[in-house]
Amino acid sequence: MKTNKSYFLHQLKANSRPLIVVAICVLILGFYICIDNMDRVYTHYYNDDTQQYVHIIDKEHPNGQYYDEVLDKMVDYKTPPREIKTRELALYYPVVLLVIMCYVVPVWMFAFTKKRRNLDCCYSLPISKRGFGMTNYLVGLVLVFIPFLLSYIQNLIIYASISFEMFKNLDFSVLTTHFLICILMGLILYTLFVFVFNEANTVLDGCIFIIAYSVIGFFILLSVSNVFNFNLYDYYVLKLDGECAIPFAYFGELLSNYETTVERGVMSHITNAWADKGAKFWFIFWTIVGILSFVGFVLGLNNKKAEQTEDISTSVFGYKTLIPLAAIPGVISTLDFNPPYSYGDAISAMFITLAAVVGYTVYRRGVKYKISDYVVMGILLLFTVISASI
Amino acid sequence: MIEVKGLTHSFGTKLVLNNINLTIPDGTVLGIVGINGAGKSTLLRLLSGVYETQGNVLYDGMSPMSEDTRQNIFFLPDDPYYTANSTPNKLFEFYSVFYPSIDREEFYSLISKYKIDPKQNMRNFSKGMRRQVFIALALSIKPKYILLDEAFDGLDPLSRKIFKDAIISLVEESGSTVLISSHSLRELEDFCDKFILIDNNVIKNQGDIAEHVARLCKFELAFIEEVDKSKFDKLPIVSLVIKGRFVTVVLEGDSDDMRAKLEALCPAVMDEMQLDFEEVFIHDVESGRSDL
Repeated sequence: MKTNKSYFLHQLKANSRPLIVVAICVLILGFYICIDNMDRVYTHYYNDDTQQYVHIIDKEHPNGQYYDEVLDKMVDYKTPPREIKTRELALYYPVVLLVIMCYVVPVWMFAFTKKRRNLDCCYSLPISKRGFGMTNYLVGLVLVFIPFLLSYIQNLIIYASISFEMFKNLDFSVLTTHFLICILMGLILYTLFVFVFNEANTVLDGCIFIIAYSVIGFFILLSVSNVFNFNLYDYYVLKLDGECAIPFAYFGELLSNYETTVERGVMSHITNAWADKGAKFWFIFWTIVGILSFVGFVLGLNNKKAEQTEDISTSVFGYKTLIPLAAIPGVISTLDFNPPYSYGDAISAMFITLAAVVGYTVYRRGVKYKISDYVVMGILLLFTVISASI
Repeated sequence: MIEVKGLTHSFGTKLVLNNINLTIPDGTVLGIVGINGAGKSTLLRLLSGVYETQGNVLYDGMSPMSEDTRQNIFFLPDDPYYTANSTPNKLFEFYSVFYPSIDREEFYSLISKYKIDPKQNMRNFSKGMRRQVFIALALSIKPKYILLDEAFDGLDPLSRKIFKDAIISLVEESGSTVLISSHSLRELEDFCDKFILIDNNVIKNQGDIAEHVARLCKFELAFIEEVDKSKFDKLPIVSLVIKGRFVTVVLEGDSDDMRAKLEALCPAVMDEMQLDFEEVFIHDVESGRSDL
C-alpha cells in the first residue's frame, strides 16, 4: 500500500509538466472562449407563447459596468412579458474539454503498457499488477479533471469579474448539479475508455476500440430502428436523442450554456430523471456501463498476461465482438422490401461488408482469417447479395 | 534459495520451456546458457514474476508474485524500460519508489566510474551506456536476487570488469544470488559458479562450470601417414576433425587417461590444448551431447 502511494506521487510528479502545459493552454483558450461567450447579452420575450432569444449586444466591452448600464437602460423599456436576460456562462467549454481528456488520458496513461520491454520492468517491480494499474488509473483521473476544474472555475471568475451583480444572481444549485453530473459522466467515460484500451494488446488496437465504443451503440440502435422501421428520434425511450447511445453524446445535454441550460430545462432531464423516461434510461444505462467498466478493468488487471502484449487483441470486448455486432445489424438494416427500391441500400451493405473485411484484416494483421471470421463475413455477404437482389 | 519445480511455459501452442526443475542455493552465481530462442529470457521472466507461474517458482518458499518477495528481486531485461525523458537521475528516483533502501552513494559512485552524466537524457546514450546505468541501479539496490538477461550485451571490456568486480563483491558482502544469461560464455566462466544449459525447451545440462569443462579434453595430433576415422572408434569422441595427417580431437574423460589412449595410437606429435566453456558449449550443442 505504501508502495502504491509512493508510486502515485511519483506518477503525479512525472506527469506534472504535461499537466501544467495543458492547464496553461486550457486557461488561455478558456479566457478567449469565456470572454467571447459572455460578451453577448441576451434578452428574451414571449411571442405567441414561443420563447425566443434576442441578441442585443455583440461587441467587446472593457468591463461589466457598461453592460450594467445597458441593462439598466433596457429595464426602462421592459414591459411585461419582456424580460432582460443576462450574459451566459460558457459551460460547454469545460464539458468539451472533459470529453477530450477522457479520450486522450487513457491512451497517455496506459500506452506504455503495450510494449513488452516496458512490462519486463514494470511487472517485475515490487508492486502488484492491480496496484500498478489502479495507480495509473487514479493519476489519469487527476489529469482528466484538473483541466475541467480549472476551466469551470475560470468561467465563474471571468463571469464574476465582468458583472458581480449577475454572478450573484446565478442559480448555484443548478450549477452544482451540472458540475456533479459532469464529474459523474467524466468518470464513466474515462473508466469505459480505460477498460477498453486495456483490453487491447497494442496502442493501435486500443485506439480503435475507444473509437468503436464511442459509436457502436448508436450504430446498433440506428440499424435496429431501420430493421423495425421506427424513427430513432421519435422513440420514447430514446427521447434524449438517439445519439445518447454514443457515450460522449450524453454530454450533449450538458454542453449548453448556463442560461439556455436553465431555460431549456435540461437540468430537469438530469436532476429529475424520473420525470423523463428517456433521461432516466440513459442515465441508468451509462452508470451501469461505468460500473461494469470499472469492474472489468480491475478484474482484467490481475488477468493481464505480459506475454500477450503486442500480440493480436483477442479480447471478447475487442474486434471479435465489435465487428459482428456493428456489421450484421448494419447489413440487415439495408434490407428494404418496400418500394421504392434503390441501389443505395445494396451499396451501403457492400460498404459495411467491406468495412468488416478491413476490420478482420486489421484484427488478424493480414489475411489470416479464422473460421469464425469467415462465418461472419459469409453472413454479411449473404445479406449483401439479398439486399442487391431486391 | 530459489526452487523451480515442474515449470512449463508456452506461447500459444509453442512450447518454450518444459518441466524445468532447478534448485539454486543462496550466494550462487548461476550462468544461464543456450542458443538463441532456447528460452533463457523466458525463464528469467518467469523467475522474476513478469510471466505468471502457478506456484512452480519459490523464493525462500514464497511466490515471486508477492510484493514482499519482489522487494528482494531485481530483474534487468535485455532491453530495459526507460521513457523519452529518462535521465539516470530520474531512473534512480523511479526505482527508489519501489526499492526505498536503494544506496544513493553506490549508484552515483558507479555512474561516475562509468563516466556517465546523470543529468543527460538516456536517449542520447549508447546501448552499453544505458546498460551501465541499469547495472548501477541493480548493484545499488543490493537485492537478494539479481536476474540479468544478456548481462554483458554492449559493455566494453573495462565496463565488464567493473561490473564483474561489483557483482563479486556484492555476492561476497550481501550473499546475493545472481542469475545471468549471456552468450559471452568466456565472461560467464570468469565468475559464475554454476551453469544451466537450456536446449530444446529443457535443461539439458547443469552443474559446476569448471567441472563441466574438465570433463572434456582437447588434443592436436600429427601422424606420419594419413589416418582414418576408424582409428579413433574406441575413444569417447565428442568432436573429431581429420585433415590428412593432422587430427584435432575432443574427448570426454580424464585428461591423463585420454592422453594414454591417444599415445597408444602412435602419433608423431601430440599436444593437449586448453578448452574453455564456450568451446565446451559449442561441442555440447553441435554434437547433441549436451545431455551427457
